[in-house]
Amino acid sequence: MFSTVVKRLLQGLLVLFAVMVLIFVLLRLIPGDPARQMSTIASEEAVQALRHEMGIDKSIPEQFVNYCGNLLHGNLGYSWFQKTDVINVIKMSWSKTATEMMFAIVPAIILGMVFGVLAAMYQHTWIDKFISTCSIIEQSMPNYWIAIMLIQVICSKLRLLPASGYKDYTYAILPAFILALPLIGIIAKNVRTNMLGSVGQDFVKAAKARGVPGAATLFGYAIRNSLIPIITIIGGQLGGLLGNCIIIEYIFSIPGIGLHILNAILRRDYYLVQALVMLVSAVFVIINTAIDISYLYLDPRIRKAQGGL
Amino acid sequence: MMDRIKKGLKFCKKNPGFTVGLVIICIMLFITLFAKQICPHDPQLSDPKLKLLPPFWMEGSNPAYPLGTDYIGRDLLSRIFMGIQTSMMVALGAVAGAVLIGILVGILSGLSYPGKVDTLLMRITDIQMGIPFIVMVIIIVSLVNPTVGSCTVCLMLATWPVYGRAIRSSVMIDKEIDYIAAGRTMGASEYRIATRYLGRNILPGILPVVPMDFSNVILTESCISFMGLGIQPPTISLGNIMADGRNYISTHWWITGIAGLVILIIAIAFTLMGDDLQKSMSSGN
Repeated sequence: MFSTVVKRLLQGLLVLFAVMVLIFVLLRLIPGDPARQMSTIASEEAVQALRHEMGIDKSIPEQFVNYCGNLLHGNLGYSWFQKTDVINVIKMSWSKTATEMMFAIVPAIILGMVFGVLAAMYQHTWIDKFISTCSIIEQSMPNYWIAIMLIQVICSKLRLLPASGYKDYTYAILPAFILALPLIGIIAKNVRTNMLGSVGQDFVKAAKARGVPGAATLFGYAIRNSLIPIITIIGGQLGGLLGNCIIIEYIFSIPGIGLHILNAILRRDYYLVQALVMLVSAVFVIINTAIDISYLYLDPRIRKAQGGL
Repeated sequence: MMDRIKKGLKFCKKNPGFTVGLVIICIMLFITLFAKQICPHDPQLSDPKLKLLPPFWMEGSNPAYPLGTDYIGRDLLSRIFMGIQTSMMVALGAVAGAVLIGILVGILSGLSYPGKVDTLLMRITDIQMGIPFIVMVIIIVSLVNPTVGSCTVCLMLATWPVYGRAIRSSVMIDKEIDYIAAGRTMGASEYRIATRYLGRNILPGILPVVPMDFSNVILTESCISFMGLGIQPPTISLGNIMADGRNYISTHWWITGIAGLVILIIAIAFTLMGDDLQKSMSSGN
């Protein structure tokens, strides 16, 4: 058990390092000079001097060694475009993205489970059909399109919520709602499938035979058994959710992590892209590792297969 | 042959969702093939006098332009047909390419497991899956000049790991089953085992993933085109029709509205197909 956890953590670190190398190299392959990007009319000498100061006049391996050295000292680098340390950009923007994500994930899990359980309980009735149809539509929606249409209706016509920027949590409600929609659909669909699947299984039949009341079998046995696939799905969706944050923050002009990633790639702001992509990947890898480990606790069958507790 | 058609019809009857999806996709494929022929007007022809005409159900519409016109007076219906063509072609190319790479990597990796080739290939998928899809796409798109061809390749490179993983795990399960051992004792070469034995048994397993991936690729392509990073004007894509319409959205919402609705319909059609395929697979038919 312990060795499995350590092995997973080491694998995660390895992936993270590889992501760092990949992003480092890919960024430098993108045509466009970050120094020239700052001003198209600056003189060649000024640009050359800036290039030297940025350290991008050195060869790529040399730059990489320098970068790794800085990282080991806890220095993420400097954003030349924003004229501040990368760490300051992250400090200013992470809470906005985190708020959006929390506002999206928590209600999505609750609603998704409620809808999924309802659909399974009323299988083959109109309730089930309605929920299943909604879930398909929610999964196929172009989120940026829904965003601009909802901004039109909710923000411009009805003036219920702010349309762009970020001052307090009310600015995160509409973006979070749009991020949550596909999640609700996917979770509801899978909860339904798993509930129906586990109702037929022996451990539920055994519970019924022992005289456990219907509602208790539903909540104690069937739902608990469908938790694992739900956790897997949330983990799998998280990468997509972080990606969708870029699009949603772009449309709502929220200066969160996502918008900074997009702008930094377009401006060739090397250090900022590297730091932000690594941050996102780290969150991604940590969550996936945590999910893998949580299986060991949730499902005795997997625990056994992994060599026992 | 007749037998297969009958089987297909029976499957469609049993899965109305699949049938609806299939019909919509067939219509879209028809539009893709004959976009130039069925366009009522030249999609690039601008007539400023007729700019921002409303669609047919609103007052002041012009029957010659059933969906209205855009901000410089180009026919929206023709532009949407061309946009569908671009989106479908990019999606077809990207998914076909991703499936091919995925099959190649998956079978190679699964057969060589446990070994160095497998470890290397799987670490590559790990790294790629450790970066959010859209970030990967944006970075690859900015590496090259965004055209229809390069967008297709970018999306292909960003999607193949999913197939690679899925095929590898089914190869790993299948290669322990007796029919492979039987093939080996009969003297079948590794190549024959990979193509004739494994290939035929494993491909149906990824079938439900393909339509889901189509919808994912179409949504992503239109999204990056909408953000101005993907397919560039004058090539028409549903994404840049939406981007054009966004400046006029408060007064002329239908330009962005209709283009987005078309993408929604295509994506729903693919999701419906994938959903029913998955259901019938898991129930063992």
